[in-house]
Amino acid sequence: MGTIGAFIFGGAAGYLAGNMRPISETQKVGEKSPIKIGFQVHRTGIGADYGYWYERTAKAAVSLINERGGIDGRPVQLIIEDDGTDPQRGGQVVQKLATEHNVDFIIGALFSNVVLASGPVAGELKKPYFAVSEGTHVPLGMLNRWCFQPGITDVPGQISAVSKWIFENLGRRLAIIYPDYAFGYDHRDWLSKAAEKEEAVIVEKIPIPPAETSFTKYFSKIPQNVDVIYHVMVGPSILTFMRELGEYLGSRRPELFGFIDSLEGIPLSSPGLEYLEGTYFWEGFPRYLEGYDTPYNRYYRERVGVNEEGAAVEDPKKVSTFSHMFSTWETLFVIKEAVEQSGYQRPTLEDYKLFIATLEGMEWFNEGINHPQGSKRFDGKTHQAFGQQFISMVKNSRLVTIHRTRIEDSYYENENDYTKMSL
Amino acid sequence: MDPLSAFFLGVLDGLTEGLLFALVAIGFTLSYGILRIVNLTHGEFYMIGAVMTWVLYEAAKNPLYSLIIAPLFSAFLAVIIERTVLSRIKYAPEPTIIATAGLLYIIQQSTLMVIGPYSRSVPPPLSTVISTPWFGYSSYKIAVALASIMIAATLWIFLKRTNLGLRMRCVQQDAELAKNFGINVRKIYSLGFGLSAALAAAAGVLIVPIRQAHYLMGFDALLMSLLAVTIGGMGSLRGTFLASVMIGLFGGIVAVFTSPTTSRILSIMLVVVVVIFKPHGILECVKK
Amino acid sequence: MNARRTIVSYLIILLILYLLQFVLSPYPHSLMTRIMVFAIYASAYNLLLGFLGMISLGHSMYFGAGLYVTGLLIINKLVDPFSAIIIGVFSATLLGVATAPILLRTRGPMFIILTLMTSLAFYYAVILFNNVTGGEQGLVLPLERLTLPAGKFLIDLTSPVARYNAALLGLIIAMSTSLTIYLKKYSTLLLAIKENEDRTELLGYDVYRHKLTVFLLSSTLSGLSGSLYSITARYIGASLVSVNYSIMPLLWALLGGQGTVLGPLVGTAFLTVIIDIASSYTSSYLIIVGISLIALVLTAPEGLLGRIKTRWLRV
Repeated sequence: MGTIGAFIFGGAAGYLAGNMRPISETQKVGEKSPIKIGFQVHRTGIGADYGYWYERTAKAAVSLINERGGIDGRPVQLIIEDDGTDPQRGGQVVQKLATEHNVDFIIGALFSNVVLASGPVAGELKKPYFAVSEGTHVPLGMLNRWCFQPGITDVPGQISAVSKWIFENLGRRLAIIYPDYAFGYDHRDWLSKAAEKEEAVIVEKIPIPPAETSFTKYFSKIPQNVDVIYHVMVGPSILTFMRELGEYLGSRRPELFGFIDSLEGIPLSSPGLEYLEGTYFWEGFPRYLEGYDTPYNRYYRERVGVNEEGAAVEDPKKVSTFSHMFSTWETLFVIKEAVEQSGYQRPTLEDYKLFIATLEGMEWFNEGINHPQGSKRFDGKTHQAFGQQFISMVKNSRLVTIHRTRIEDSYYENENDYTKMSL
Repeated sequence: MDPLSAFFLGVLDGLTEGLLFALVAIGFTLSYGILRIVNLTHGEFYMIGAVMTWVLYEAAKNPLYSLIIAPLFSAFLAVIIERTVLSRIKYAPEPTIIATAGLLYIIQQSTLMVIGPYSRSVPPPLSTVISTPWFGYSSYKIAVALASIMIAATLWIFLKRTNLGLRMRCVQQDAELAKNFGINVRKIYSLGFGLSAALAAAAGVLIVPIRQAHYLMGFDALLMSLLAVTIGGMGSLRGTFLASVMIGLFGGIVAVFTSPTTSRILSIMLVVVVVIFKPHGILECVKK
Repeated sequence: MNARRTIVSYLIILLILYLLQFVLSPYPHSLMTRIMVFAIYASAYNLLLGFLGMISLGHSMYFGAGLYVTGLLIINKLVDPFSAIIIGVFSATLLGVATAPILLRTRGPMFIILTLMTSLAFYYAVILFNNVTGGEQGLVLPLERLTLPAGKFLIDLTSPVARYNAALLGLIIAMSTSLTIYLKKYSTLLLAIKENEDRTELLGYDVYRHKLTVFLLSSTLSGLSGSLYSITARYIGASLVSVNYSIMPLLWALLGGQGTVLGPLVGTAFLTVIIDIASSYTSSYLIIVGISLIALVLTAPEGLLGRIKTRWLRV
């Protein structure tokens, strides 16, 4: 019997341990119960640099919301679980947040593979899931009606907005270097679409496998006669990529247009990046305050603890992922707005239907402290937000914003309609 | 770029990469040769070397110290691991795999918690570019390739010519017999393991200015080592070194002509093919 | 006799697993489903590890075969889920047949490394053919395709009940395989091969055939795990066939006690629960995993179950 006993005991102990809840969750009489928002964070794994800043920004937003009375008078409680930037854990974490912690809403992940493994689970468990990724998973209908992305714009929108500027200002013959997975394909495909419309041509497409650590050998594929090299490498080796690109190109180089994703969390003064002088980057939200100086931006930075150069105030070497982390902030405020407008009370199907109907009916999120990156237009059918995009140039190892697109520039055709799905 | 220049670039780059990873690989093969273990933590010593270089650079602005300090630190850490964990489980194959896997996680995540998740870089001590009519190539990379050869050569001389090296080779050949000859096998095990870690760390130090330091970088180094020892022969220093260079070269050349992902698959297929025809490595029967 | 006691205790464990679903709250329930699906994988892996002493670092490709074939068949609306599972499992067997001639030529460290290489090639192939497989991002299995007609009824494969029992059924198949090998004394022959392959060969046994049999059983059952995963998680992606998922079954099997029938389940449960608990309380659950592994190796090298050296289940 020993084995069986040990097994049962071990199993029971394990599950009991996992079931323990902090005491603070019990309600005090007369006080309003908290709104619990589950947060799926890349605390470890390859998304950890973003995860840190996502967590920090979300906590700052929650603290501000609570200072001002919470959501609908109820304090917000953030319940955080690490998904390890792993899709399998992502799905499991959503299950845990929804059924174990019984949260009201879930703020999801950045990496699209984690989002894709998590969204369906949220849909089954009937829990609103807010992606804070740039992926096409939500807008292009890969998920379900419970999934939203109101806090950040998606890659197709970004490319639609900036591509015209690229073709008009930098040139119409491009080579694209991109990572050999979804994020990269989105760039490849949407840039191709944009090129077709504008009579530009993508001369060469160079996919780089994930986890590649050395890139020089691939650069020989870059054709001689291109106007622009469009690059969107991400991952731990981006510094190597940027440096090797510079080494390879030398002084006789075409124009370079990259996405700041390649340099999020990395100081522009890093050795080897000097050649980036005079090149261009898309920014979701300019790293340097002077790129978009508004009182909201200033206050937002103050609350999150980021200085005018986009780095942590306590350590200027710690550069933030400024173009992405605002998504958690804005998403939290969207949840607040939707709860308060819909009259959502508790996690029942009826209340959720109200919540979702209200959210789907929202069209504008106005710029303000709730939305410091800028106003957003929300499409209730595709569950995706559209906003302004920024183009910056590197000057003296700083980013100088030279162009700001209109929200309409980022619209693209999309037949998807989640509102047709039943809840 | 015209195909010929692309080819040269591929050769040069592949050679450099192969030579650098050869250091890590011979470290791995050393620990297999002497202790007969498959050490999954090996890549982490490489990572420690790289990360320490960055840390020391931030502190003292002189990366050259790290070439001495980092390998020493790694060796020290390795010896502790060997004494406390590996010897206790008597180097048995399966427990060692679990243990080194566990250590991999511990070292990796500790680094994450202490250093953070960002990629860090260090400027190369040599920043001149050697210009050929076809492309520019960093002189530092060339220096690294040469350094790698030098370190490997030094190791070779050490093993062949010194007393300690002799004792190591004895233990590698037959630990039982070596014990009977009065060799302190326990000590050799510790030293051997420490030396293998030091080699990996040295490679990490050298590579930081070219690449970057990141807490997840160890895995790739481990993979390269495994590839090299498969082709080169477990325990064969010469074979492993050669194999690493070959793999690097092959990868560099193939990458020029195919898509990067395809070239990865082809590199792996190469390994598989070699194993089919030469299961003990390309330099079979060479017990060094 | 021993055999009877073994079977009885095995049946009791299965009964407990079956009954657990009625008492577990929703999260442990879904967690248990995931654990069981992975325990199938661990059991499959254990066939090679425990009985033959072969350490593979490439099983993720067999898991992946089941995962992708089943998943893609369902996503592309080609067959019903049941057939998709069968075909998925069969494709894992085929992959095993295709790779066996290369892999089974080698032993020891070479085998370890070679299996790692082939599964890496599989991973990169998945990425290469990303327009079909979804690559690293992956693909979602649509809800509508996950219902099984059974006579007049419709089994909803997305309900927690169906998932739990599907996983349990798979686990029963996997563990029964191990149990059968063990009980039929086949394990003794395998043990002989494990101890000294050449000597066993000299004694007249067709060692290759036996290794092949176990190898194919192992790859087939790994495929079963992958198929079931695609259905219960409704997600397929390259991360599931990365090296990490080749290392995990090794850890699960070793933790639980290799060569025991229940070991893989215990190991999988233990590690999954530890990770789950740790991720709520620390900022890096993998450290806890690492420490647990070290602790285990130092105090109980035969694994959790192996440590409990009972007369009920032994090897």
